Amino acid sequence: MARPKDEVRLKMDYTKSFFPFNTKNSKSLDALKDIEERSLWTSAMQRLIQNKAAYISALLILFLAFVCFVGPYFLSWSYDEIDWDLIEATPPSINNGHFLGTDSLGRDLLARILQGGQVSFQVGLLATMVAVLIGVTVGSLAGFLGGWVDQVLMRIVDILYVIPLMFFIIILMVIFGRNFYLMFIAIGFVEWLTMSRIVRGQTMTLRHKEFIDSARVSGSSNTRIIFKHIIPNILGVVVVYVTLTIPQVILLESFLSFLGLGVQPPMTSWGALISEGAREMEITPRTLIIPALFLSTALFCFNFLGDGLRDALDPRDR
Amino acid sequence: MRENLLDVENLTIKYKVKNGNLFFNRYREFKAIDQVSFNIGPSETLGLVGESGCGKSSLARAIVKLVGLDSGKVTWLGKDWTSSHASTDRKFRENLQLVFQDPLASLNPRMTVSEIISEPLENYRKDLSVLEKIELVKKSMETVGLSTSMINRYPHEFSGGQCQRIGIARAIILKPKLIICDEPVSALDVSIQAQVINLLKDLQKRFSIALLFISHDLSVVKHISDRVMVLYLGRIMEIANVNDLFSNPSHPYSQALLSAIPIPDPIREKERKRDNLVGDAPSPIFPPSGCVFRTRCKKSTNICSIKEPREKIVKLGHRVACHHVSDEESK
Amino acid sequence: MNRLLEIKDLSVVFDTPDGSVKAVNNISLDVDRGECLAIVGESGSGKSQTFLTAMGLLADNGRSAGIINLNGSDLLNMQRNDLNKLRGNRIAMIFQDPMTALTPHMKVGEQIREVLDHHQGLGKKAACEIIREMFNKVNIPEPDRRMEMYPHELSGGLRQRVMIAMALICKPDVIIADEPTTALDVTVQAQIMDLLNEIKTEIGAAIILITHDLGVVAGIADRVAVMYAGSIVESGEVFDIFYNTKHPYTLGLLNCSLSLEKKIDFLEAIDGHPPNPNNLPNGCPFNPRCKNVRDICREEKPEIKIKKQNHSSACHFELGVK
Repeated sequence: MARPKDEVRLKMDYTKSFFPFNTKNSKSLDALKDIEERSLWTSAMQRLIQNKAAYISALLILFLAFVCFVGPYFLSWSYDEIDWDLIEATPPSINNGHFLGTDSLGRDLLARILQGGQVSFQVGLLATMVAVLIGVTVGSLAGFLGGWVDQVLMRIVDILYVIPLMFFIIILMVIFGRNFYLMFIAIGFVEWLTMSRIVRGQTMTLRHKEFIDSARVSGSSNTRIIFKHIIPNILGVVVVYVTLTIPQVILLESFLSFLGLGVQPPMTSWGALISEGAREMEITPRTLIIPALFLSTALFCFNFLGDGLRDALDPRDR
Repeated sequence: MRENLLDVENLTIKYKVKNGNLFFNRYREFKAIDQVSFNIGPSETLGLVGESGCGKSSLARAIVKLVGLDSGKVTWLGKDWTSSHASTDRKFRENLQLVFQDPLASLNPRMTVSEIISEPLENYRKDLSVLEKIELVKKSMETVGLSTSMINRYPHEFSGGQCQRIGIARAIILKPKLIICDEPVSALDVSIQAQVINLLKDLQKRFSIALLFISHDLSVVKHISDRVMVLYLGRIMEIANVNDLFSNPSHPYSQALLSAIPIPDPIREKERKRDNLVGDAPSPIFPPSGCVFRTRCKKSTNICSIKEPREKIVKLGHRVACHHVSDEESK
Repeated sequence: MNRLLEIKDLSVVFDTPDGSVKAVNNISLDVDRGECLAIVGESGSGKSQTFLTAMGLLADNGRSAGIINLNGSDLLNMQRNDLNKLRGNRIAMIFQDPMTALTPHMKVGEQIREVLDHHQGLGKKAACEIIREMFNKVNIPEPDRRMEMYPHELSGGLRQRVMIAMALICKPDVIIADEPTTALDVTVQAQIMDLLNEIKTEIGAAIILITHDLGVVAGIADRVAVMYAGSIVESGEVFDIFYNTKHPYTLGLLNCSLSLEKKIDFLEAIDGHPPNPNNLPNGCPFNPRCKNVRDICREEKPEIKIKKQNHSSACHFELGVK
């Protein structure tokens, strides 16, 4: 939603010099700079940068994602390649190219962690996107329209809530087959429930705000009110919830993998790696600790980022 | 015969309140507005005075159809606006704008000033280009005394008075025929109040806009209005020219209101004898029988609790709903 | 010399993320028994903060300096326990919004009884007797029934009366009323103002009335202090303030407050808006909005000076002299 605004702003800047009431050019230029800096998203960015914990977390997440997706190309071993010379878990060494050692099957641990990271990040993002799309649509419709629409949608949510999560996912997996990407969608289908409730609550409080009334008096249609007035105002909550959902989804995925419903070996994820490592933690604690370190770092960072974003996106808190 | 902008006839608004226990939902209906009739002519200011809970805001919201009305008829620009379908509502609203009480709450915190002010344009003037819209926004901002350099700022960066100016800029951008001001100055500081009142008066003169000015403050209403309507528990008590009402209030409630207003002048204020009402206004959910004002009225007699007074015409354009006022017509 | 409540050189500073903000700036005030001092100012002028500080209710990020002297004891440097003994007992406060100032889940009778119990250790029966008497005094009809009611069951006017009864119950020396009528309807406001007037004369307490409404001030105050941007700009007897105004800000306020008596076409508004307390203008804080501004106003902050007996103002010039 930031994009079209920027376009308008550019046009405005262009027009500024034509208007007779902005004769003092130098002054209006100064004012322009001032204005440019004060736009909502830029000022939110500035506040985010000022929040050290959130900023470092964001950088760390980006760094982790970068390493996970680009790193494998620079390693001499791939994640499913077995080093027949080191068929047992071996400690790290620089000489044989296993920088973090190998697992019990002689596969390079670093390569597997990076591959696992790719899967975990993908699951986290895709599943959360699905959850956001459904959750925001359903929640804002229910909250804004109210009445029977609200009743029907929320009863559906209630029914889905009482179906046990695992049962639900297992059914979905059986129906759709064990497709890797379908799993994301399956998880997303579960996660949207809470999302929709949060969005509905927020929308209901917003609906009675005066600025919604004033938009209606200005002739805005319901669609416009939802997209221009409601959704931008709940975006802060949504973003925070997203950053909290991503780690949740990553954890859920690792649990599914543990049950044999998630990624199938030799493909792996952080969760799968941890459960593998847990089985051998008495012999080689390394295979548990290192993936767990990656996972918890990522989860921590997402949480810090979520908090930081919430503070940064609320313009009234200044 | 002059054409009225807005004709309101026997308008009634009912609300439901929950009145039951844990297992059974019972609802009790009450009338927030009961049989209210008035009209507003072109470029005229009608002041609407009343205490909190008397239905002032409900009335404003019913006129712009933010709340539904239960019976009665609203004629806007000669067309029946009560029975019009939702799809044609938008067309009606073009000439009818609202200015709200809480200046900050009535502006979307996620929109820039230019987006806020141009919102009516986005809805009604889709033919305009982005540049033309921006030009109109700037013109409107200058009219209400805002610096155009603030066009890309967000509402929270403004003070209350400036926010109210933004709200007014949005209301006038389509050059409406009627603006309803719902307590536009009661949330503002005294020195800012005066600025906004001056601004509204000035705009009205320049663009010949009619105003429905709602306030609980009689002195503000006296300053800005041509005619004044006094509301109590959803009923009109008195409606008259501003001079008639303030120099010769006929309804006991109007008299009490007038005497309750403090005068910013210590000698006069300390000397004068106030004629205070007793108690608070009753809840509109359980209004008294007969005349709703009788519980606080000094002139109250038997008939007041039995029969609801009908409006009597004291003078041309001066209507009073009280048993103790003699009817000019019946004489 | 010895006044009941004396505030000397009080400053209140708040630490905010954007730096420290001076909310109250070196103000001195005093009030005596049977007297009503009105503090007039717009929002953000520091009028409420001054007396929240006096009650020991300053927010956590606020710091205060100066002397607040009540009957010989310094309220600012007092132990918490000692302060608790004074608060509600010798010095009481009436808040703007009685709905938020009363605990919603307690019957109003119980709430007042708690005050009595805390300060005087009275038993239930004796306390009820006193409360009934007090309710009668503040014109609450059917006191026994009202005592058993919860705040939300009372109307706005009654709630404010309950607040007043609660403030008066220990017969305090000083009553601070922070915008006591702003949330009320005019007709109820008139009743409450009459009640406060009675209290002043009957009980002989000192009343500090914080308000922005000059009409209310005219009706009840003996002396007035006008605050602007954390400083007192003018103070004096109520008649001097209204008829012999010395400060341009006070004059502006008087000119733009509406009255039923005046019939004017155009209000003389004060231009601009109140300054942001963390970015006060140089020199006199009022200079950007002042009509008689001179060079010196932009450079030097005027001290509050006595212009006439009991009448002081913080302006470089005599009003009307250009």
